[in-house]
Order: sequence, then structure tokens, then C-alpha cells
Amino acid sequence: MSNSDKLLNTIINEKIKPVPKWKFQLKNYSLIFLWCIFILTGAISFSIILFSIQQSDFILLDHAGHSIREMILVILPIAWFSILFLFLLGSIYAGYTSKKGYKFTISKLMGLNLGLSLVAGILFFILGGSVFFEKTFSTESGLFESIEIKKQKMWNNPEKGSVAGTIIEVDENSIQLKDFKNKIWTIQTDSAIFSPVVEIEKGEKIKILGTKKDNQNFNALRVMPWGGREMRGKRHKRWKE
Amino acid sequence: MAAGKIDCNLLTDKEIISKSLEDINYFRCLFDRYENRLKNYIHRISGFDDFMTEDILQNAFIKIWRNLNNYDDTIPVSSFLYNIVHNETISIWRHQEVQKKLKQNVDNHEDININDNNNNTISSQKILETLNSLPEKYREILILKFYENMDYEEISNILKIPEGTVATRINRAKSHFAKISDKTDFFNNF
Repeated sequence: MSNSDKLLNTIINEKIKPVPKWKFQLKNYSLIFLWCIFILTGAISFSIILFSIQQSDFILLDHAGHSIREMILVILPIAWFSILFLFLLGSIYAGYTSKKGYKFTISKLMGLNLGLSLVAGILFFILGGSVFFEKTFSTESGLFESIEIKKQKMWNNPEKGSVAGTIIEVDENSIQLKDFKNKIWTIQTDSAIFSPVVEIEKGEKIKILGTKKDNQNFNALRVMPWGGREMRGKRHKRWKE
Repeated sequence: MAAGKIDCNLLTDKEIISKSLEDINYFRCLFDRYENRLKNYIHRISGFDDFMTEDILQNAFIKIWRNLNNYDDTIPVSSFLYNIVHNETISIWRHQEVQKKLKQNVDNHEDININDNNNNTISSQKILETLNSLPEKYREILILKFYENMDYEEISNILKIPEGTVATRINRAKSHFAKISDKTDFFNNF
């Protein structure tokens, strides 16, 4: 009996059948889908990272004596960096195990996948998607604490010369402000520099640099709007000194 | 046993694959066409005897049969077959721990001598002994390139590595070979 006869006999007697095509297609399409999910999640993470950098008030570095490390640890979302890194690894794995993935070196896959996530993340950020994502996925505390809450914590520091909150009353040389802990401050503004884009009206949120006079009074040196256009939904001029 | 003799001489490998899915007798043609080449390949990379080689080839072709619907027609059929045979051989070779036996195993299938550029004769026995002492990844790539006459793309499809890695590995393998055999210009013979 020839070897080919032996082979065919084995296949027929043991009823060995080819695996159906749809199973291979399912595996291939699943890997592609998984790869897309990983890239997309990486893009969302990166857009939130960009948003948090944009919302970081580096002006506090000089005035309030915060160090860069303190700013980075408080404002920048370490959790989202970790997610970006983990999903990058996932996308590399999904790409490498795909049908044609072996044609790429690991470094090329890493570069391609990271590039795609970063570009998509930048697009999400420009189109305003990062605000939506950040609000959707953020929590009030913990690893995914929202950027808004982090900002409030950074600015609510009258001892170090920063307060922020909502305007409740406006006078000629002073503002009544309710901070984020619901404490009422009288802000003296006669020697303050106002940002060109800040709106001093009841209900508006602002942030102030200055010096604390006593437990209820604060001398303002600079008055700025709480958020940029992304937070307020309006167009603003660039802030000029 | 399946009946019927089929003439496959005019059929391409890809045609045989697609006809095999309709009629298993065409699969016999594929086996007959590649049997000797693949047996020699199995023997060269593993050092197994004839009995073991035939066994591995049978198992590999059963896997090929199972995976027939996974054949990607953008690559040659030979690459598809070699890939499965290669994986099957390496898997069994690692299990069997035949490394120790490799140095004693000689190639009885070929009885040729090769002349290097200085017209000194190098026996095929010596070549295989040298190959067998190389690390697995260098041995297999030299065999595919210089014995099976595969190009970089085919080797890439068989070993599932990028073409750039194939080129790098061949260069490193040749360096290793030259160090062991003191024949730095050996590969110019091919």
C-alpha cells in the first residue's frame, strides 16, 4: 500500500473532515475586531490625556508653589496612561496573531498601532470628543477621578493664594464668591488683572490668584475664567497679559 | 479505500487544493507531488530515520487536510505545506530530544560531494554534521534557503517571520556555519 493510500484510508476511516471555512473566518474577523477595539480605546485614552494636559493650570506652578511633580501626579490621569499602554500591548498581540501579522516586526506593529491611536486621539480631542469621554468614564474619586474634581482640589487653596468658585454677587471693587466647599469669600478686585475673556456675572465660575487676607476676605491679583471653551461651550479670545 | 485514479499532471497546486475539497482523491495528488521533497526536508531538519519521517509526514498531511479551508491563496501552496510540516516536525523533535542523536545521524539520501571555490571537496556528510550542530533556528533556515531553494518570501511564509528577519537570520546562520566549519566561502557554491 502506498503512503498516499495509507493517508486517504486514515482520513476516510477516521472520518476526518476539513475544518469549515467559517470557523477560520470567524477567528480572523474576531482578531481584526479586537484590534480595532484596542486601537479605539487607546485613542480615547490619549484624547483624555490631551484634555487633562489642556486643563492643567501651569500658572499655579509659579504662584502657589506647586512643583511639576505635584502637578503631574495630581492632574495627569495616570490611570489613562496605563490603559493606553495596556491596550497598545493588546493591539500588538491581536495584530501579530492575525493572518498576515507575521510579516511585521514587533517594532513596526508597535509604531503603527501607537501612531493610529495617537492620531485618532488627537482627532477626538479636536472635535471635542475628549470632554464627552472624560465625563462618561470619570468617577468622583479613585483612579478615574474626574479632571474637574482634581482642578477644584488644586485651586481650593487660599493659604497658598488660590481660590475658585461661583460668583454670587458683583460690586464695583469686590466679588462675592462661593467656593467649591460652599464657603463664601469676599474678593477684593481693585488691583486685580482680569483675563480679557472672563465674564464677571452672577453664576459664572472663575478662578483667582492672590493673597488671603483673613478667613473671609481675599485680595485678588489675577481673575480668570474657570474653564476654556471646551468647558463652557463658547468661543473665547486668546488670553493676553 | 477511496477508488478512482485521477490525472493531476495538468493541474496546478491551487487547483488541486480546491478540487480536493470536493473530491478527496485529488488530495492524494498533492501528497504524491510533494512526498519526496517533504520527506527529505523532515529528515534534514530533524535527523529522524525513515520510519519516523514517514509517520510525521502522514500526521502533517492529516493536519493539512483539516486546515485546507484555511489556505490563503495569496501564498504558494508549497509554503502552506512546508509551514505545517515544519511545525509538526519541530514539535515532535523538541519532544523527542533528539538533539543528542543529531551529531551521529548522517544523510543517506544523498551521496554527493560539493567543491568549494578552492576545488576542495566537502562531503555532504560533513555539511550535515556541521548543520546539525547549529542552533535550531539557524539550521532550519539554511536548509530552507540552500537545500530547498526557497526565496525570502517563501521562507517568511513557512516560518511565519518577517522577510527582514529571514535575511538577518540567514546572515547570522552563515556566520555560525563558517565559524564551526572554517569554510567562509562555502555558501558561494549554491
